[in-house]
Amino acid sequence: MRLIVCVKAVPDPGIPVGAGPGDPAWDPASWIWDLNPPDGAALTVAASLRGTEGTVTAVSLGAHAPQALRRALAWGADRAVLLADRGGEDLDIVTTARILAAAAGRLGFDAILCGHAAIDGQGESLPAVLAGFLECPLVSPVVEAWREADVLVARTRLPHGRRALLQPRLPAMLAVEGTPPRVDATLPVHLQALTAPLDMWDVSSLGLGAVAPQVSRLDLGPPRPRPKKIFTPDSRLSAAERLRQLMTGGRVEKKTELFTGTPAQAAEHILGALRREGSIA
Amino acid sequence: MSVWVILGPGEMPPASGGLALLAEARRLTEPAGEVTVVLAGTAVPVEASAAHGAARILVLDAADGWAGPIVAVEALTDRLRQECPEACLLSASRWGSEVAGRLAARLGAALLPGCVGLTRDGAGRLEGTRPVYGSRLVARVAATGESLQIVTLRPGSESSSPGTGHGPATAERIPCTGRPDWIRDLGEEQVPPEALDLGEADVVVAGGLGVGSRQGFALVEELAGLLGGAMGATRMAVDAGWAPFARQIGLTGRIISPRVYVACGISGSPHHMDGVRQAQLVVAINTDRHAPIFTYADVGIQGDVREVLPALIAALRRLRPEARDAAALLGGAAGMPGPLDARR
Repeated sequence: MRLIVCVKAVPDPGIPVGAGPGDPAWDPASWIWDLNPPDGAALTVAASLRGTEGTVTAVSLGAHAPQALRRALAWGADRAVLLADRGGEDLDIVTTARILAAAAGRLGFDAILCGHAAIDGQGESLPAVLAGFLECPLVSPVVEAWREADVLVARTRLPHGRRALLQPRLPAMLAVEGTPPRVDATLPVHLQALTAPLDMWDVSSLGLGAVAPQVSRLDLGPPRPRPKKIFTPDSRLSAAERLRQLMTGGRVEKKTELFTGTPAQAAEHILGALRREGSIA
Repeated sequence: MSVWVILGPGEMPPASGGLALLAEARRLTEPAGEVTVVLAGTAVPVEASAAHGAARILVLDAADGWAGPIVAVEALTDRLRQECPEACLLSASRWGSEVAGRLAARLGAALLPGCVGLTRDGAGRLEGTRPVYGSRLVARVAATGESLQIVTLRPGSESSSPGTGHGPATAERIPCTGRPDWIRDLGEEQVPPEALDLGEADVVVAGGLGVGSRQGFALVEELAGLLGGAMGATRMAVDAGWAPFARQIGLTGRIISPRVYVACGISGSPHHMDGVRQAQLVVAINTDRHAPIFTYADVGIQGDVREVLPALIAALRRLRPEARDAAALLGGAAGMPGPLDARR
C-alpha cells in the first residue's frame, strides 16, 4: 500500500512566545519546532497499514519542515519529501493543500494521512481542503485503521463514547486524531534520521503556475486578557449571609429538593431529569 | 454585501449555533445586505430561519432527508458560482469544516477557518480573528483577492445578539443527487464504560464507598454502559480496590467536565467535587440526607444505591425492550438528526 503522510512542524507548546515585537522570544526562529503530535499518530497508523511491500512517504513544506520530516523518518517513514516554497512563505490552508495535492498526485498513493488538526491552531480544515482537491473520501477523526484483504477499515470517534467502522473507497484521505505512542524511536534511529537525505522538490516544478497566498495575516499579537470575575455578594442578603458567601469563595449551594421514595419512583425521577437534559430520547 | 449561512445537521434554528451564525450574518450585512440561509435537509425549520433574519432560504432536497458534506458540496457548487456571494459562513463543526474545505478547493475561494471573531474593513472585506500557537497568540487574517470568502466560526464565538425578522422569506428547494458511494458504513460500536476515556465521556457515572463492594461497582459500570458514558470512582473506592486508578476523579485523579455526572454513594468531599465542578447536571444518590454532595446536586435522591441502581437500570431497559446498548437509548429530539447523521 502506497501511503503519504502530510506532516507539519509546530512550535513546542511549552516555550514562551514573547509579549510582542522587540521581545527576543517573539522571533519564531528562536522557538523549538517539532512534529505536530496528531501527525505523529498518523505516522503510526500509516506504519501499521504499510504491510511488507508498502511505502510510507512523509511530505511537508514550510521553513521548519526539515525538523518535522526528520522526526517522521525516525518514526517509521521510508522517505521524506521537502516541498521548497520559495523561502518558507507563510501560505494559507487552501494554497498549502493545493501544493500538497499536486505533490501527492506526482507520488501516487492509495491513502493519504495527516493529523486531524495542528496543535498550533493553524491546520484546521486542511484534511477537508486536501480531500476536496484530490476528490476523494475523507474519514475523520480516525482513532485506528487496518487492512482487511484489499480494503481499508477505519474506526472513527463519535459522540457518546461510540465508534463508527467505515470502509472508504481508495484512494482515501484519513485525518487521524491522538498522539503518537509514548515509546519513542531509539537514539541510533534518531541519529540516522538526522543525516538521512531529504528529497527536495521545488513547488514551481509541480506545474501549479503562480502560487500566491489567498489569505494574508494582517497582524499577530497576544490575546486580550480575559476579564476576571470577582465575586460580589448579593446586597439584598443579610450581613451574615453575605459574610458566609465571601468566606466560601462565593460558592452558592444548589437548592436541591431531596427526593425520597421507593427505588422505582427514584428511578423514574432520575429518568425524568435525564430526559429534560436530553441525555436519553 | 451578500452573505450565505450554510447550516448542517444539528445547527438549524432553534439550535443556538445556527441562530448565532444568522445573527452574525445579519450584523455583517447591515444596513443593505442580504442573508441567504442554506438548510442541509428537508425536515428543516424554514419559519424559524426567516424569523431570525434570513431573507432567502435554500433547502437541500436530499434523497434521505439530510445532506451529507459531499452531497451538500455537489448541490451548492454551481449555485455559488452563479450567484457569487461575497462570503459564506459555516460552523466549525465536523460537517461545516468539511463542507467549507471542499467548497474552497472547488471554487478557489479564500478560507478563513476556525475564526472567533469577524469584522468588516472599510472596503467591505472580512477580517477574521483566530487564535494561533495554542491560543497564546491571536492573528488577524483577511482574504487577499476578490474571490469568495468562506469562514468557519467556532461555536460560542459569534455575537450573542439574536437576529430579527427580515420580511417574508422565500424558500427554494435545490435537488440533490444521490449519495456518492465513497464510504461504506460497517456499523457502530460502543466503547465499554471501563475503557471510555473520562475526558471524552458526556455522561460519567461514578461510585464511592456507598456502593459497598467491588460487585456493587458492576451496577455502576452497567448504568454507565446504558447511558453511553464512562465509569468513574472516588479516591476511597480506588483505594479499596473496587476500581482502577485511571478511573479516579478529583484533585488526585482526573478533572472532568461531563454534561451529566451521576454520583452513586459519594459523600461529596471537596477534593472529589473539585474534579467535577464543571459538570452541567449532577445527579446524586446517597442514604445520608446531610451529605455534602446534595449541596452540589441538581437532582438529589435519598436512597441506597444498591436498591436505586437496579431499579434505574431496569427502567432504562424498559424504555426500549430491544435496547442492549446505549446507541438505541441515546439520540436527539424526534425528527432531528443525531450526530451520526452528520457523517455522510
